[in-house]
This record gives sequence, structure tokens and C-alpha cells, in this order.
Amino acid sequence: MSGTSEILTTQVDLPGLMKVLGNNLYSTPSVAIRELVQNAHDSCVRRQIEVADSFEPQIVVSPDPVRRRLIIDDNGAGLTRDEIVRYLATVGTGYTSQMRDQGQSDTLIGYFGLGFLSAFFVSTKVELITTSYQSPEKTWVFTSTGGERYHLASGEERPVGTRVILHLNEHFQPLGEPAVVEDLLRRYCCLLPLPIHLEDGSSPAVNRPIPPWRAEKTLHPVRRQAVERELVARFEDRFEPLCVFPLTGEGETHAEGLVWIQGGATYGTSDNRNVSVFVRGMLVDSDARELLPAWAGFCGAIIESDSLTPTASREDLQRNEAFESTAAQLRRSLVEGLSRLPKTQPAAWRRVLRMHNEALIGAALSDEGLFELLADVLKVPTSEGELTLPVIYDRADGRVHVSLGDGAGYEEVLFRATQVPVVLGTRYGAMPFAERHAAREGKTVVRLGTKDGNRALFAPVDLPTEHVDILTSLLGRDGLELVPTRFSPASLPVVLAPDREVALKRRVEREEADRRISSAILSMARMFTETIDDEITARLFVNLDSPVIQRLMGPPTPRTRQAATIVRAMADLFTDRREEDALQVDTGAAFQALSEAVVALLEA
Amino acid sequence: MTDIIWDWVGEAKRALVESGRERLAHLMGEMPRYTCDEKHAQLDAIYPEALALARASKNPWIEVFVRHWNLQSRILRRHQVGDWMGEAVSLIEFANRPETRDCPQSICTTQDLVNCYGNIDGPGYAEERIQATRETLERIDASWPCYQCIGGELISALNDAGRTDEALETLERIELDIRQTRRVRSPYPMVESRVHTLRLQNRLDEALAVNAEGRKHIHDDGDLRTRAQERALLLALKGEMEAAHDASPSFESIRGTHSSYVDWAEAHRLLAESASVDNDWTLDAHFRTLAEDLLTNGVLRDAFQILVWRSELACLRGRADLAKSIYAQAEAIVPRLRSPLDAPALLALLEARIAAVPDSAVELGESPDAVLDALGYDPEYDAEVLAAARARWPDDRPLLMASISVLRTLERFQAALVLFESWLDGHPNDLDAINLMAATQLDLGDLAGAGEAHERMKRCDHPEASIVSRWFAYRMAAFSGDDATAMEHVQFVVDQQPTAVNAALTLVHYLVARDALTEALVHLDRLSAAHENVGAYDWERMVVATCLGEWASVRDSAARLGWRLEGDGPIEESWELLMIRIAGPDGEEHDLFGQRTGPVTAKILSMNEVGDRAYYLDQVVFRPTPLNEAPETEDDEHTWIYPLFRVLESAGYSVFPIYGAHPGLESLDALWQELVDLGCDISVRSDDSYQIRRLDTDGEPEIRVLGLYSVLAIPSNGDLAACASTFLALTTDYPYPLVCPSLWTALGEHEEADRQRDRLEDWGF
Repeated sequence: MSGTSEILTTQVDLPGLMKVLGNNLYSTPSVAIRELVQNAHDSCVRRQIEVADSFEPQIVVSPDPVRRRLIIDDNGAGLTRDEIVRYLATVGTGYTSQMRDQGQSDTLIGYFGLGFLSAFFVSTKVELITTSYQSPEKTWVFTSTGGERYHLASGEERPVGTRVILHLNEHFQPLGEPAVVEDLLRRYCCLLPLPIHLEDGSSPAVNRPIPPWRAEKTLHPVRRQAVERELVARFEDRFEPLCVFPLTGEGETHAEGLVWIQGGATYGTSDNRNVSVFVRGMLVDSDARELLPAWAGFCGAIIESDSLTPTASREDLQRNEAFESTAAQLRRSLVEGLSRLPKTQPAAWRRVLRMHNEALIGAALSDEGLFELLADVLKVPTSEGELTLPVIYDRADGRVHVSLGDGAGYEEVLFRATQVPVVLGTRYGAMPFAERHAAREGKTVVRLGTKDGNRALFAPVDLPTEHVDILTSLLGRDGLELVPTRFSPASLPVVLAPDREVALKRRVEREEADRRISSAILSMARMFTETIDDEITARLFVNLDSPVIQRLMGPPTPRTRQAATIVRAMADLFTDRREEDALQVDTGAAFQALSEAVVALLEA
Repeated sequence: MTDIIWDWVGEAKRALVESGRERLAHLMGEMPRYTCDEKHAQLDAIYPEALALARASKNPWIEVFVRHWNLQSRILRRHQVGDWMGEAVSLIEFANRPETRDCPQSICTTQDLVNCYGNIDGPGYAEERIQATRETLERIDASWPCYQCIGGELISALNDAGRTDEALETLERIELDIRQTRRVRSPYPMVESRVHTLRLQNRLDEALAVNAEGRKHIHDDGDLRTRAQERALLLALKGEMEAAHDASPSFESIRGTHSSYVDWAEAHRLLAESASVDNDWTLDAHFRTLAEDLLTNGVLRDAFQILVWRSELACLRGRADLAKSIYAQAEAIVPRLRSPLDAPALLALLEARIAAVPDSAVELGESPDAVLDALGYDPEYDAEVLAAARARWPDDRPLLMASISVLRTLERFQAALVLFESWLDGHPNDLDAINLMAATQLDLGDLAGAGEAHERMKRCDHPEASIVSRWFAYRMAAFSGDDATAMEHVQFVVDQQPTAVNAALTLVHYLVARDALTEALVHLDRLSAAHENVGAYDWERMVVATCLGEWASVRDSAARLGWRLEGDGPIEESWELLMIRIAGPDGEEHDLFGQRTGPVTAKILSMNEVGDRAYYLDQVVFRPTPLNEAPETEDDEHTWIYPLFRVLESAGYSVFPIYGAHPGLESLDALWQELVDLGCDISVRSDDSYQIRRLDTDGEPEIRVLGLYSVLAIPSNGDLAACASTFLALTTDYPYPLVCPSLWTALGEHEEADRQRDRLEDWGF
């Protein structure tokens, strides 16, 4: 058959397929450009392989905003009429996939045969003018307005190659804008081996410079950095990179590429991960964030790996072993890059620390290697501002105090006066980070408001029995253990701390609990609370450095008891309000006692 | 079909966002995700914040949610029952108060507590768990997601009670309820329960089929790992070892997720028994770690089981002694179980198995040297060879040391210490052995043990006993952070051996920390004089001598290191540009440019403030150990960074940032000139790319102009007031503000400082 003009029908359910393409396969219409440039690229490679004579491959993309067109020219192998009919109009095959099956070329990209159909998704009409090297005297013009049926006719003689003209539909007119097309080409085609030009062949190729890992010779470090940054800039719209690391390690998947730290401030749980993945030179996934660890919310990456498998839409990746292996390689590269940074790029390191302190706390908690690197340089929020752990030890006598409360207890008073920094444990990552650091350094963590914390803060001091008796008679009450101790500031005479376990025991073992908690689960809860000793409900830490306490222990005066009442009321009123019932503190009564004692003192 | 819990969570999050509590809403979304994806470190990072925000929101329902999801990670996944049991009980009580009991998530807290007991001793607490879960299930129906979770706990408890038929029957009913009530994609909504039950009934093919179905419906990373682990175990039980091996998650990937431990251990026990993985000391170390992790968490029954398997594997390797010691560890757990159940029987079987292990026939070389030459393949085997060799040549010291080394590799520290003891019984004056034993104890953090060894060292009849024991006393004091005592001991050692480099440099370290530089220099001078070769002492000597102005010492060491420094007196060269790293009061480090003026001195050129202090033109001494690496290629512009040792002479400059709109070159030159005439220095930090923008406020249009950021440095004898008035006089008429508020703050004129700051408020500063 060699008619000069004919109408043919594609051999698939195009309307149905278009719907699938439109809804699922091609979520972004810009993919059309990728697919068509890929076809052009494959065509040039095919000519290189199949034709002995040398030729200068050329691919030119010309947006035409005035006529709402996008034109893609190549001087590749072109197509014969039979090829048009067999490959182009038949979805699911595609010449390059056949070549790949035959093992002829790894540089060919396309293999789904669906690519050309994407053109119909963005166009009202598609024209394809092609001259095959196999019959250079014969040019074919393919025209279709919807893809389902097409017109094929002979055309005027022209050089070997193919021209595709998309008449863009109203929704996709931006694809005719040079700036838009340039941006897309710079991202989607940046790894294609052959040069791609915009508008005309004279301007520099848009997919240059070649990424460092594809460069034939090792680049000078300064040049390499410049190339890396330029490449990153194409993929990172929102942030300047603070530093860029190459992917290291061979890995089973042989992934190559770059990973970088973003230059936008983050908080602990920010997730700005930005990962673009190339397979066989084409961008197949621009949001493969799962390849980066969950803690790396401040990082981006470009990866090239032919081991990764795109899904049918080529806009996502299959989660298989290669994916896991690549993720592991990426994590290693990131950790290694960060580890070298302090010694290789100290200034960048400072900026990374300053911008991503909290995010790095999360990262350090998730990765042992990073923890070692970051342990001494990250800052945690404290009552005295953000400080590193070494500074905190220095200012807190080798300990780290952590507060988990809302300042309702005595902690604030105790530490504000002494300016000892207290880690604000309710802020992102602060407590686990401080705890792990202290464990590593053999330091003590004092959790304020806990039994262990109180034990560390208020070490008991031996006191003659008669003094203990005096203090007990003045300040004691049932269930209250009086602990003579010393602490700063001396102006604080006592601290009252409830025993929270006893408080829990009381709540669980009260009869009233039977009415509101199911019996079997309540029995289980009580199996636990039965092991709690409830003889002591609270501890009163008595500060022997306090002049008030010293006076109370001295010879009694008529006003001693009133003073003691004031001290005890103060302790009651300063304590954590949430534990009132456990302490059996009656705030009203405490105010009453305070008031009466003060009046008595005034009248004395 | 609505989902009672997640619908409420969605509502609650929306309400939080609307009331401006976006962060809490965000964290409510992250907590379940982190837990289910096994990102426990991330969960721990946000939990305290989420809890504080939940409490601040005064919404007790949200507090229930936050605390429950923390326990899901802590207890269900990580089995940290020892630390979190109290919280599980507390949450049950909290979630059943009048203000919380209608919260849809409250019911789920049952699972947290029931699971606690299941972790401690599942079979021991089976009946209580069955009762509690049944009671809870009666209160809800399958429209609740927790119907499934609590149902799972019930199935687990029935299985632990050995009632697998009842478990399967119950499971069928619960799954049917779920399928009829809620839209579920999988035919098996409770894959884990079903696989477990079928496995216990030895219906392995059916279990594998359910597992395969489950793998089609993976929700999160936790699911992914559980399904892989289940499959590996099922395949191993079927004898398909290669497939089991391929399917099994790695040890590293399950470490920390304690809910995977028993299945991983059982699969690997089977793999090792069939020689599909090496039954060697590495596997033994993994089993030991698993059991230790579980015991640390208070998970008794599983730890017991893993120890029994570990001991069995040791028997299989013919390591009867090791098997016995593991047996003892397992035996010690039994009294702590709720109920021993089959544990004594398992131990009896194990005991018989250990007794049946044939005496290992170790082939010994002809001499201790031959034995030592043949070592190095398998530490466990080496340990046995060495034990036999030591029985034959009990007084051979190299054999003893090799034995200790192998035992340390195997982390059998106690066995190493026993060996030391027995050796020292026969060789009480072997000072090296005592020293090594003491060091082993110190490595273990056993200060009491180290102290005993130290006493023995002191009693040792050996010419160096006194000095070696003093050195060890120093190490103990340093370990405890008692610098004063540590220094005393080092001083003693140095007095005895003044040119011992390590001791003398340690003493210098303490002296420098106490600012006793003159004394430190005496030791450093002595070291340099005593040793022909240059060493670290020469560098340290230059640092200390420079601080003291002892230029002859500096020049002497510099000459030894190859520097030719002319003249005498202070060294004031103009060498290369470098950077000095200075730590601020908050611990943040700053790198300031400087010019090297001598081997260990520099003049700071940067005007940056570090904390509230400037170092501009200060003369500083640095430690000459670079903190950055050499560049990859020859690069003349490379700048080395050194840590600050101390400021030798402060130039006393104060620095004040000047910022705002660039007034144009002419105006700026005039301003700079006036300020320079007053003795100031200026450093401009911004360039032409720095733009500032006045926001579109009060009808004023947005304006973009070139910005300026610079620093003004005023010497200590400079006239701040004159500088301030000059600055004000010249900048007042600028079209856009250029300010220097900290200059007025320094003058105590806070109103003017505030006024200047206000001027830039519209500019987004």
C-alpha cells in the first residue's frame, strides 16, 4: 500500500484509553513534552545505531505562543509509513521497546509506546511530518485531531528526521510559552545524553551542563560545585541549597545523583523533602520523598538509577527492593555528607545548624551516626535560652535538669533564682535528645517533678534527732515525709512534692472507681497499684540553708508557730495544683491559715 | 459507614485549626503515623510537646488521644512495660472519668493495659486478659476500629491460654462482624491474629495464604515488617529454609521494635538448626541482645523463651559451658513470671540437652605459640581452645592475655574477670595483669571492682607498683570527673618520672585548666629539653609560653618545628589569613577571620559579635590543630580554622550593626568619613544583591530599594556619644531609614533605640 492520502483507524479503544491517560497516567500535562522529546531523542539514537554514516544529532523544541503551537524537530531516523502504522498508531508497542528487548541499546528511553498519545491530551490537533533514513525520498504527514482516527499523506520532500506540531488546546496554552517550556526541559530532560535546544540550534543546549556524575572526566572541585548548584536550582524552587553532596557508595542499585540541604528554616516536624528520580535519563518521579528518611524534612535529592522501576504512568516508582536499597544509599550519602561538612565546609555547616536545629534533633534521634556528629553542637531550648548540652552541664554542675510541667510546680522558682538552665522538655525533641546525650556522657538527668528527680535535687542531710523533731512538730502532718536537705536559693525554705504513684493508687483504689471503670480492667489496674506503698503521700523538702528554717530550729519564740504556719501554707500554695487531691491540700484552708498567721504576727 | 474514632479525630483537628491551635492538630496527625511506621524516635520527639499542648487546650479528649498513641508505640510496639505500666494504669483511670469516658478513643486505653500484661507474661496473665477484653468488647460493636484491636488482644490471650480452637472461632466471629459493619478491603481484617492462630494449629499453608493476602493490603511500615516476619517464620516452620532466609527482615531492621523479637528469634533458631544461617557467636550475640532488650523492658516470658532457644543453639554448637550459663539466666526469670506454667518443663528438657553435649574435642598445637598462631577464626571456638590450652599450660602468660582478649570480644566480661582472679591467685605480683583487670572493670563502669583491683595493685610486690597504681588512681578519678584528685595522682607520677610524655602532658592539661601556666611551662620546657624529637609538647609549649610572654621558649620550639623567627621579644609576623573558632555563651561556635602573627597567635579581623562581645583587632592565642580539612586540590585560598585558646590582648572595640536602606554612595562615603574621623572602623557586609522592601501599609505603596548591612566598630577610647550624634545628624535626612539602635542602647538611651527600630518596622525588620 502506497497511497498518498488515506484515513486510518488506531487499533485500540482510544476514548477509553485517553480517559485513563487523562485521569491516571498523566497527571501533569507537561509530561507530554517529556514524552515527545524522548521520542525525538530515541529517534536520533536509533539513527546513530542503525546508520553507519556519522551525523550530528539535533533536537530543537520551538514554542509558538502566537499560534498556540509547540514544535519538536529532530534529525533522527524518521519513520516509514509502515512504522507509522505499526508503532505510532498502535498503543502498547513502540519501536524502542522492541530494540530494548533485543538488547540493542541502553540509551533508548521509551518503552511503553504510550508516550505519543500524551500529545493528544494537550492538543486539538497533532501533526507529524517524518522522513525515514530508510526511504529519504519519501516524506509522510500524519494528522490527527483526537487520536482515534488519523490522516496519512505524502508530503514535500525534506531532510531525514521528524517534526511534531502540537496545536495546543485552550487548557494547555502555556506549553507554547518559551519560559514554561524551557523550565520543563531543564528539569525533565537534564540527563538526556544528546543536546536539546530551544527555539533554534544556535543557543546553548537547555540540558547542559552535564551532571557531574555523567561527566567523562573528574571536574575541578570549584567547577563541580557550580554544576551541582545549577542542577539543584532546576529542582529546588523554594530554597537555595546550603550544601550539596554527591551520592556515595556503590550500592546494589548503582544510583547516582546529588542530595542537598535546603536553605529554608524548618521546625522539628517540617517535611519539605523534595526528591526527583530519573530512570534512563528521564524524570519519572518528581515527588519520591519516601526515598529520603522521614527525618530528612530539610533535604532534597536528584537521583538517577536504572534499577528503579517506574510504574506504568512513569510518574511514580514501584516500592520494591531496588527502592529500599536506593533509599538506604541515599540515607548513607546524606549522613556521610553531613559528617564531612564540619571539616570541609565549616561555614555551610554553621548555616545548616542554625537553620535546621530542631529538624536535626529529630534526625540525630533517629540515626546513631548523626547523633555522634551533632550531639555537642545542637541547641536545646532552656529556661535560659537555647544552649548546647556541654554549656548546660557547665552551668548546672554537670547535670541536666528537664522540666515537663507547665510551670505549675516549684521548679520555676527554684531555678529562676539560680539561673541554672532547665531544659524545656515539652519542646520538640528536647527531652529525648538531652537524655540520650546525658547517657552518652555519663551525666545525670534530673526530671523535675518526678520522684527520681526530687531524689537527685534534694539529697537528704543527716540532722540531729531533736532538730528533726522540732521541724516535724512545726511542719509535719500525716503521710508527709520530712526530708532535711540543702538547695538553692536559700530564700526558699521548703518544697512540697506529692508522690504521684500514691496519688494514682488512691484514684484507682477508691470505691468510686468501681462505678466508672469496668470491673475486669479495673482489677488489672489494681494489680499494679497494689504494689505501690502508700504510707507516704508527699515529701516536704526542708532547706537547711534557709535562714527561716534555721530560725525555726532555734529556741522557740512566741511567734515560731505562726512563722511555721506561714511556711507550710506557702509550701501548699506553691505545689503543683494538679496533685491537690493526692496531697490533700485545701487551697482555701491554706490561705486561711496564712491569713490568720500573718494577723497573729502583726498583733503580737 | 462512618468511623467513630477517626471521624472524631478529624473533627477535633478541624476545631483545633479553627481555634488557632494548628500545631496540636498537626501533631495529632503525626502521632499515629509515626507509631504505625515504627518511627519511634520521632514519636518520642513530639510526644512531650503534644501532651503539653493537649493539656493546654483544656480538652481532655485530646489528652486521651495523645497519651494513648504514645502507649501504642511504647507498649504495643516497643514493649516498654517496666517504664510505662504506671502510665497505662493512669490513662485507664483518666479515660474513664466523667469528662473523658465519652471520648471515642477512651475505650482503646483498655488495649494498652491489657497488652502490658500480655508483654510481661502473656500465658501467665491470659485469663485476666480474656476477661478484660471480653468485657470491653461487650461495650462496643464492630463499627469501632478498636473492636478489631481489642479483639486482637482477646485472640492473643486465648492463644496464650492454649485455647486455639476457641481463638479461631472467636476470630471468625469478630472478623465477620467487622466485614458486615465496616467497609474493609481485605477478606482478613485481622491478619496477624489469624496467621498466629493458624500457626499455632500448625496449619501453615493456610497461614501463608492469609499472610499473602495481608501483603496486598499494607497500610504502613509496621505492617510491611510484620508481614515479612510472619512469612519468614511460616516458611521456616514448613522447612522452606532458603525462602525463609530471603523473607526474613534483618536483625538491624527489627532492633528496637520488640514486638518482632520472638518471631525473629524463632525463625532464626529454625534457620540455624537447619544450617541455613551460621549458628555461630554472631547469631548468639543477636539472641543475647534480644533477650537483654526484653529483660530491660520487663518482658519476662519472651525473654525466657529466647534464652532457652539461645541455650539450645549453644548446645548444638557443642558449647556446653555457654549453654549452662544461659540456662542459669533463664532459670532466674522463672520466679518472676506470674505463673511458671511450662517453664520448668522447658528448663528440664534444656538441662538434659546440655548434659548430652559431648565433651568438645579440641585439638591443641604442640606449644602455646602454636596455639596462638592457630587462633583467629571463631572467637567462641578460640575461647574453648584457649581454655583447654590454659589447662595444659596454666602459667603461660600470652595464653592468659589471649583468653582475656577473646572473652572481651565475646563481651563475656565477667568470665574475663574470673580468669584474672584465678591467674592472680597464682601470680599475685603480676602487675600488668592486675592493671588490665582493673582497666576491664573501669571499661565496664564498675568503679567498686576497679577500686578493689587498685588496692591489689598497691599491695603488689613489684618495683613499679607504686607508680602504676597511682596512674590507675588518676584514671579512676578522671572517670568519676574528680579533676582535683586526678591531678594529684598525675602530679605524683610526674614527680617520679618527670619526662614521661603522656603523664607530663596530662598534668599540663590540668594545670592549664587551672590557669597555672607558669607551672605548666616548667614541665613543657623540661619535655622539650629531654626529647630530641619534636612532639605535641612543642606545640603546647608555644601556646603556653606565648600566653606568658616567654618568647625564648616559643622561639626554641618554633625552631625545633622548622620555623625561623628572627630577633627576640614578641613575635609579630604578617603571615596568612586564618579563622579562629570561638564558642559563644550558648555553645554556638563562630569562625572569625584573622591574620596569623606567629606560630600560635593571630589578630582578629572580623567585626562579628560572639554573644555580646566583639573580638575585633584582639590579639589571640589559638591551639594549632586545624579544625577543617585540607582542600581536595591545591588551593591557595584555603583558610585554616583553629580553636581559640585565649585572648592575649583585647583591643576593646565595641561593635554596632548599621542596617536599613542604602543612602547612595555619596551620602554613605560622607557618613563613613565622619565616623572614621572619630576613630571608628566600618565593615560593609551587604552587596548589590541585598534588597529591602517596605510593605504595603496604610495606603503607602510597596517600595523596593537597595539595602545596607554594615558593622561599626568603636575603640574603647572612642566617644560613643559623638559617634551617635554624628550618625543621627547625617542620616536624618536620608529618604529611607538607616539605623544603628544598639549604639543608643549602649548609651542607655533606650527610647531613641526603640524609635530607630520602629522606623524599620514597616520594612519587615
